[in-house]
Amino acid sequence: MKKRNFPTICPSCGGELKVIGLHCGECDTQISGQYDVHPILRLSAEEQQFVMAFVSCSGSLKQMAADMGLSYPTVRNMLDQIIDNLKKYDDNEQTL
Amino acid sequence: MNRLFNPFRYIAGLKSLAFGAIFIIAAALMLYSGGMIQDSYIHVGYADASFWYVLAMQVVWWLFPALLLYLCGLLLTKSKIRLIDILGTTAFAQLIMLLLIAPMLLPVVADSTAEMMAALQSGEHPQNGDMIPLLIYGIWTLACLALYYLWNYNAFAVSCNVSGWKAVVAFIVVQIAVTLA
Repeated sequence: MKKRNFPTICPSCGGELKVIGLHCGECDTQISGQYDVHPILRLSAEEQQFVMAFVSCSGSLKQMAADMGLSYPTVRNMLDQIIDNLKKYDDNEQTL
Repeated sequence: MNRLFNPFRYIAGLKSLAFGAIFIIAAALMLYSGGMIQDSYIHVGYADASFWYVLAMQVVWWLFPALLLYLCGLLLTKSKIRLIDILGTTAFAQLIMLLLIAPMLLPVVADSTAEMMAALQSGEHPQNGDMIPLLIYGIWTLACLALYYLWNYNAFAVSCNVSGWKAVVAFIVVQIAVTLA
């Protein structure tokens, strides 16, 4: 089965989606409510993968650059872009 | 293709500076062996100079724009940029200089240049046959120059994490400044 991306933006109006239902796959329990999506989950799949790799490398950009076969400034620029996106999502949540 | 147009996605810092140092020394050796010198940013002329002077000029025409681009980067970016990255990437871009200089050492290009210069000095019209190697070299030079500017822009963009019209304007201003210097 193809892995589906977690949707965070409304395909109809472009607004930010919220989680209103959770389901337990073991006992079929369903929970309804309204939960904010964490800013990290709003990142793209590639960006989330980058964050995972960053944590796995204990935050060493040099190690990440070596593992990814990219230059140090390229990896640093990717991290800066993610930081910018997280700030943007965080600011959006605070204004809502 | 990405590696051809933007190698700095893959190489920067000390590694690219080491390669760049080799390219700069090789360019100086080639210029010296041909009795030439890089007398301005993108101009090579004939001169009777020592190897160390030729090498010093190569270093100046790499370091001067690199430092100006670093200053622009400090002004334009919010990222923590490293001087070693801009020095390394712009030094690596000197590889294109080798591609520009190498054909000048070919006897066919050197002879055509000498014949054309002699014809112009004596007021004669150069023969069409003499012009063909120079025409081919001219096209090669234009292609190399386009790649040289592209590599230098990408060196600036990657090392200083800048993009958009501000980066383009800053890069053009630096290029004009060093060309006029």
